[in-house]
Amino acid sequence: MRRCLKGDADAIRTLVDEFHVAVYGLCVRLLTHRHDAEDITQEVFLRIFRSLRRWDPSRPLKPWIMGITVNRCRTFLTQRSRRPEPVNYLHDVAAKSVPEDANELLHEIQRVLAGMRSEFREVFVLFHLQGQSYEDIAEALDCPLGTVKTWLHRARVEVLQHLRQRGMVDPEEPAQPQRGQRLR
Amino acid sequence: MKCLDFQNLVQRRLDGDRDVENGAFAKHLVECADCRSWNAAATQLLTALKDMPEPNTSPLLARRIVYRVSRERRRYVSYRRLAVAAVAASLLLAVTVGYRQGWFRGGPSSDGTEIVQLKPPPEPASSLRANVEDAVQAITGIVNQTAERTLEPGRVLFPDRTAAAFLTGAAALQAPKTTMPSLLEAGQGVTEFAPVAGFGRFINYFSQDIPGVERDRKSRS
Repeated sequence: MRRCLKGDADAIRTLVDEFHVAVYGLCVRLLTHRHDAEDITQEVFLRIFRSLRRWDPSRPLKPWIMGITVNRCRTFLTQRSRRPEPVNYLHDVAAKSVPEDANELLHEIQRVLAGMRSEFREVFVLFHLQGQSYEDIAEALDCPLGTVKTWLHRARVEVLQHLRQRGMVDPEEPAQPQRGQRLR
Repeated sequence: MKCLDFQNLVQRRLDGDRDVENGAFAKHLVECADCRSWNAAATQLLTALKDMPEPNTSPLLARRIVYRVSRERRRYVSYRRLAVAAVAASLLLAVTVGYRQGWFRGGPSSDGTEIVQLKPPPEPASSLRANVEDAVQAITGIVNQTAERTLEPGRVLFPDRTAAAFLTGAAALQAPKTTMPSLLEAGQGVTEFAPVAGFGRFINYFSQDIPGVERDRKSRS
């Protein structure tokens, strides 16, 4: 970080390589548009390097970066006039193919996320898709831990309710309790 | 177990807590269809999130980011250098102007310490003397000019005399005498001359030699 402050090109490149995937992924999931996400990702890194002097080295770096990303996405969403289209990045995936029924389920989840309150969506994406802890999310969003837990609880209830209403879940199927796993 | 407690356990399961599945959990799962539906939805959600693919990042994105950041840093550094140069130039200009204006002067004294001396103030006496002389000359000029204008109509009577011939330095500053010379006396070359300051004097000037009028003036005064 010190070398980044001095303008070391290699240090800047290292920092970008380490975090640009996570920042871009968060932008895509919050903005649901690839080109907008690329633009915002660049702006996020510009802000990171402008604000690097204000970062407290005693605190973890990733939540700070995620906080900047969320704020920038919020600003962009309030300025954007056109309605966001459903995420199109699913068609760009080359890593693995998604089963068709799973694809439909994903689309339903993304649809309910797009219509959700912004705070709920941010917390849901940060926890389940970015793998951030409650503490890191609270630091990134600069809000109390209890508030983060409440928002995530309500976001999950909305998603589960939507899946049940859309008939994605068979209520009569005897669901075997499976080992809960926190993804990624 | 109540449904609210069961749903809290489902939330903990979504948090990644693996210790929620106990006897009470399984028993309620069998007994309550609604809670069974909630649990099934949670299982579907976890599976979908696990299958959710990573967004495909463009290989040029990182390069574009580095390029933009580097360009902005170069611009910032050049602006900062420009600002520093401007401040330095302003300070140099201020010091130069101040030195030429004599705001500060310094030189080493005999023991090596530098003494700052101020410029001595101008002598007030010479300027005051000069001002007084200027004032006297101005007043003299004004009086001569006034006399010239006054005498202009009387050029017929005294074609060879100028105002300066009737005026001396002392006479110009003295108060006019109460007795006015008559025309006869004026025509005989009397140097004293008092300008006509009012209508009464004007009449006296021309009526002194008229016997009747003179007596009346004397009786009135």
